[in-house]
Amino acid sequence: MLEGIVQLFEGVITLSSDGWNLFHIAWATLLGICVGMLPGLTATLGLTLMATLTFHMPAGQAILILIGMYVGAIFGGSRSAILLNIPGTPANAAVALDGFPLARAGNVGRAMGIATAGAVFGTLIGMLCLAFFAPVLADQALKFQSYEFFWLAVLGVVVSGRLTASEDPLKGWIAGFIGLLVAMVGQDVLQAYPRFAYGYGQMRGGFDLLPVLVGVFGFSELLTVMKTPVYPSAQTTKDRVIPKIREVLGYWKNIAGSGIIGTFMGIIPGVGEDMGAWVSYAYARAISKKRALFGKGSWEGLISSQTGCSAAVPGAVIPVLTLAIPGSAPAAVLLAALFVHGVRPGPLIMDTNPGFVYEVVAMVLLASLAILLFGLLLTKPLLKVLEVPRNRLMPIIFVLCVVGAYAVNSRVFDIWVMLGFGVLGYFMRELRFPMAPLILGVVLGPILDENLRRGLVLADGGIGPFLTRPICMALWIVIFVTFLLGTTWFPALLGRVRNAVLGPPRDDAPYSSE
Amino acid sequence: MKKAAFAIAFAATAALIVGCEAREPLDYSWEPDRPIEIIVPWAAGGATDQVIRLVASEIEDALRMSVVVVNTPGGTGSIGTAEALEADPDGYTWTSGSASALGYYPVLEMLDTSLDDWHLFLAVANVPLISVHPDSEYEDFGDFLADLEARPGQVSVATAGTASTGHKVIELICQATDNEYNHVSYDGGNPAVTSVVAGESSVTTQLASEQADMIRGGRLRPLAAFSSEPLEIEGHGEIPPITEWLPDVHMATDYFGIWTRHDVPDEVIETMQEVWDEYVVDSEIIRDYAMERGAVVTPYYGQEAHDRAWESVRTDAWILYDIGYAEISPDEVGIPRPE
Amino acid sequence: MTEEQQTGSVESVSGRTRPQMDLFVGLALLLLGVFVVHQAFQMPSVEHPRVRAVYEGPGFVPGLLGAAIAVFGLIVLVRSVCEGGLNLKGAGGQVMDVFRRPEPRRLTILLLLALGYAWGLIGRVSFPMATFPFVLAFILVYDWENTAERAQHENWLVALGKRLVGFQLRWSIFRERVLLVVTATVQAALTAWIVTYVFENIFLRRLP
Repeated sequence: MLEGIVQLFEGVITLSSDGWNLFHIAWATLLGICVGMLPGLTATLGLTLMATLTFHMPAGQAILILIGMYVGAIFGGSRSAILLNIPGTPANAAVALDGFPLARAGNVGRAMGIATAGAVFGTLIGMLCLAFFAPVLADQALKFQSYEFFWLAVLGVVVSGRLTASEDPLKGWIAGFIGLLVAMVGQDVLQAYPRFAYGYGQMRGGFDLLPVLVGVFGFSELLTVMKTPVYPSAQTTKDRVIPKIREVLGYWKNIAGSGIIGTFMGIIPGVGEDMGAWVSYAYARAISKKRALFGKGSWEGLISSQTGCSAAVPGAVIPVLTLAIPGSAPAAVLLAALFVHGVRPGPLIMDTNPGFVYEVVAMVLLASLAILLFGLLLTKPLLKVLEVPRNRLMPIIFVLCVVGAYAVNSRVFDIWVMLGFGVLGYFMRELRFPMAPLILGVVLGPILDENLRRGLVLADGGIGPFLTRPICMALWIVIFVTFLLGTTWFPALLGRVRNAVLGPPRDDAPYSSE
Repeated sequence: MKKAAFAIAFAATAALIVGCEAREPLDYSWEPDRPIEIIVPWAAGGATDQVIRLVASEIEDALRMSVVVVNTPGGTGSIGTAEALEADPDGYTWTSGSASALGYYPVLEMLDTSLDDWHLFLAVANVPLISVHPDSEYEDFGDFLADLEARPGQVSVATAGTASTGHKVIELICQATDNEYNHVSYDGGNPAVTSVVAGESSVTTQLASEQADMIRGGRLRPLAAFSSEPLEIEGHGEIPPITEWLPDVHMATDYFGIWTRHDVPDEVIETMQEVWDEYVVDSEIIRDYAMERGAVVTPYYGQEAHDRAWESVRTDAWILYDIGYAEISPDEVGIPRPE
Repeated sequence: MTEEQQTGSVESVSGRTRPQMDLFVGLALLLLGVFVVHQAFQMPSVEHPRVRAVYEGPGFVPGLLGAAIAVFGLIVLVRSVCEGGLNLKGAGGQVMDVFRRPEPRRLTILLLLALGYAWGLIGRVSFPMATFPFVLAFILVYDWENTAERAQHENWLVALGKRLVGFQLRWSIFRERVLLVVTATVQAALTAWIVTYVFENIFLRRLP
């Protein structure tokens, strides 16, 4: 542990001693905030484009830029949530619930200041968890073998499908399974048989993740955005932005609780930032004395939800580093980028690349300082970003989508992949299929495929180890319950049983977001 | 403020450019006037990619021209190689990989090419290692062979998948001793090695470069090197060669290097040979890499490179045929069985 | 919570689509699932020398996934039928809604622009020559209709014109359009040049 702290400080010092690093983290975070602010540009899109564009850079710098982008975007989304009632990234939906009413009541600056404080503290709490848990988890991660990885892959798809499509979980699961199916295209790991390639050379290698991501989150997003009317113009600040320290400290319970909740939501595969915010919001509501204010302008609700989703960012990085399993869609991009740059995340990261975890921690720290600085000092100039005409921005984004898809492998084929998945993604969105499980499916597909078959090879065809190993058992029980809760009859049954035992429920169900 | 920053940045860039220009002229017969491209037909960060980037930086120093490494993965390396085969023979497009691949492309009907289509410049050879978990009951390689004999088809061997180096190694061992084993495939050499560290499979036969970190960290115990000479790994010591137990196993070294079309102008080849002699043979970064990763520096070119590669092409193509992976016989594409 | 909400494009978050629509979705998924299972059976299995058991064959997992998707499709189908999805009156219109809502023209134009650029131009002409017309066309197509509205706004030039002539001149729309064309051309040229320059001279990567 002590050694860890020393390494952490070393990491911070080496990172910040190089002026270029500070420069990179500053612009990357700033760009991330802008991307997050603009409705239609999500954190995932920003990360994907950045991952393809920083492809040529040295690993350290590229990852630094991606981390800055990630932290910045999740924070930037709170701006449009507060000002326009449009969450800039999906993760900030809970922030809009209280942020917008507060802003409309004339507290624009104060709301943004409080949200900034929440984001900074959330990131810092998540960062501490990352520094502390990642090495511990990496040590334990060797217990995860083929059997466990199979269940982790299933868990990611099932949980993400359930959470991103709460009204119709079936759609989430279908999207997830289609993602898994997409991952099947190309040579399989065990026999090198080209599946679904139909003799087409380029298909033998399968679809590269990054062009698929650029399509699903870039092109299809562009199609969706361009057909909707222009968003309303924003309000401006009149009151002070920099919050009083005592005021922020007054919410310490919310900050600490939401920070830890957010981090853990980030760690669970497939859950990610949005749930970090929602569960933190529910928690804040449960412990609040002024419950009636929630949804109408509650400071506690605002700070908790932003702390929760920002804390989920370092949280989602934990399984990326230790298990090579992404916690959320943006984390999936980060994982792909790590592989591209030759960093081998996984259980042995503390052996093969001991300093790297702390380097990432240091990067997160710098990014959180950057959002603190930009969030409080550049409030007004940043609002101008919301006035950038969409018709001018979108063609550039599309050009970058094309270049980005091409840049990874220098194949024109990847541009077609991007276009194809963009159109597919667009129609799936129109049919109300969520996109996050689709992407997790694409990432987790090969993991599911090879670990299931390898597990069976190792167990000589028996399914025993899949069911009886302790971690496996915990995982499949969670998956099973998630499935049951997604059906219509099981929760009804559960409710009836509870009513019979405990009497009628009180009306503070955690998820009522109205 | 902005203008000042701009001016500084501009001045710095200008100084950099001028600084580069000011160096003395070179006297190579071929002086490239635009960046040279080396295609790595595998993903970034892999075994080939790591070595080729080092080689690229040496060429860059020698020719004072940028050398761009382009990763074009897919089709087991055949897509990137095909691109280099179709490029203009002007010396600006090179491809890379392990030389034995030039044998399996035709046999697996991936690409119609042969060793004679290329000028080879080899850099390092990677030696496979047979390794186990430190707590394994095998004391030495002999114990492993005995266990293979005792439990046919039960000993799990982790490799990077069908037709990977590790797979060919264990096939050769089993061919020589007439044994069976349980083949466990992973998505690449590193996961295969990790699985032995985690105790999921018992033995791995992957490249030393993929095992070096684990061996140094005491998380993996090497039993034998798949070569005829002992292998030295920095921070661990010497590993006995497999020939101590199986003197007849036919070896084929896996050479990594770069190659370009055989019909490029002679000046290009001359220049590259000079670069190899002056920069690659004594390259410190390549030697350090080799020591750290348990690889062997093999800076060969010309006929010598061709002959060495031919050896591994033949061995490789025939193992693939013998294990039923290749459907056409190497004979048909002009690769006779090694004696 | 989902991607949709943040774009504000749909009325409800991951809400249910109409049963008639679900009927087609379910049917499509069922067909997809069956097709995948069929393909999975075509892949090498135990009869192949390298495959020792069914689970080792490459078709094993795709087969399972195909089956799962077929089952999901069936559930969607059954659910839709239970909710009156078979009442196909006006269903055709609803299916078309997806393609139509809310501005079919804009969407089609965008698709044409994007495909024309990425499919038609990239790889055929040099990258900047492909990018310049695309960005220009994109801005013109989407901003053209706004010029009339923008011309309504009072500004000093219009005000001056009014004072001089006594009434508002028609050419303010024309002026907005000229302005648009000029700025769009500049932006398109800059985009094409900067992206090309950065990639080819700083990143040292070829562009298509």
